[in-house]
Amino acid sequence: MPRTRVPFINKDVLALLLTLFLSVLLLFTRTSPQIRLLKLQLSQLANTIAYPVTWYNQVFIIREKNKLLKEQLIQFTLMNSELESYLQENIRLKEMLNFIKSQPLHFKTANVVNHNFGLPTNSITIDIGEKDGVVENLTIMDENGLLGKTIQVGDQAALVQLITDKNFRVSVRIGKDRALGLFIPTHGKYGLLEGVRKSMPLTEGEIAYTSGISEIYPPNIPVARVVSIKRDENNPFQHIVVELVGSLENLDYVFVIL
Amino acid sequence: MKYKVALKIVIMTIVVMCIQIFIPAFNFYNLVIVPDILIIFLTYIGFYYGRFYVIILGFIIGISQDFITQVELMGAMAFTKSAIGFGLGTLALYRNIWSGNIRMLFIFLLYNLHFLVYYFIKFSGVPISPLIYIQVILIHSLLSFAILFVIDKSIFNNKITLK
Repeated sequence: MPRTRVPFINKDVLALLLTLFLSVLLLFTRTSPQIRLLKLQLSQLANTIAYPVTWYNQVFIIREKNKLLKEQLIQFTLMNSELESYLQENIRLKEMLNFIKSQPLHFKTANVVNHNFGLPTNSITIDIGEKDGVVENLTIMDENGLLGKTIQVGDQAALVQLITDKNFRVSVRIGKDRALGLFIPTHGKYGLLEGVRKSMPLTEGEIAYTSGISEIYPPNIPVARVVSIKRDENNPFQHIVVELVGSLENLDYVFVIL
Repeated sequence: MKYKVALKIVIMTIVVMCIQIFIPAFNFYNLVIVPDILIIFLTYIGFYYGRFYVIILGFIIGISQDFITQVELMGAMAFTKSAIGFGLGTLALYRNIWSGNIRMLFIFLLYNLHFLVYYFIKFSGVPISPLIYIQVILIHSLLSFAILFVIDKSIFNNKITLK
């Protein structure tokens, strides 16, 4: 059986390849600065030469990725249409249940014209009244949170009972479980949250919001921030000290929620 | 027969390497240049015995040179001498075809290639002007070539340079 011969591959070429291979091997085992730089230059050269191949491979990778993304897009489109149908169903069910949509708050800005901190009722007077649509038991707040409610209304002015007043109470919700509680002012900007059960997990810094149960206050207005929590074995409720979020210092103007 | 040839080449190699040790060097821009007698020896081996012997011998001589003079670049001379060994071996194939001038030009170009590759590796990362780089290559090549010319005229009776 005749042996096939590869042209140009003879013992001379083999000897050359072998010696060159050994030389390069020896050369690249060195760690001198020249050899390190030479390696770098050669790798850069190889990188430049191999660039078209790399580019060609990247085109394939991009095509594959594109295919994958298209598949994902179809999946998301299907999911989106499913969600869309759920939304429609949700709207229909709400209509069936006569569910009332939450309305955005409408408010009027009023200037504070008088402070009555020394009287039995902690109150302020504002410069808008019946003529501006203000009636009794409207919520008063600043940009941070609840400040009080209107208790007497005149033509062009109204008296506001502040949240720090001893007789002021507001129902609140707090925590992840939206536990119900009652805010009672104690001294200055501090107060207590009463009626929060011991089992309700609460942490310091959490904010209590109006519950919306009351006819006076709309829900979700920030009232107070938890300062400390105590749990007494003999008491089924937590002892929660809170601090008002609304600022009563240098009170200049307030918002009346209509 | 082959054994005798190999022995003869080994003895000659040892003699030439001994001569190479005592060849005087000179200074060019703070670079020590030593005329390369070994490359002339390889030229004759290539001319008389062909590629295979010259490639193997080029590698052995190169690695010996590396080991003696530049351990940090071990393999550089072996690489260049093996590579030009292939070219020098071509002289045997075209011994009766090429004229003396073509042969001389070919040898000169191979010497240039040898020193170009060698100094490229040696000067890698060394801040040196390209002009000096070229000058060193040319001087080294010309020097080796001039010695070859003299040896060929005086000892070998125009074997390579014969028209």
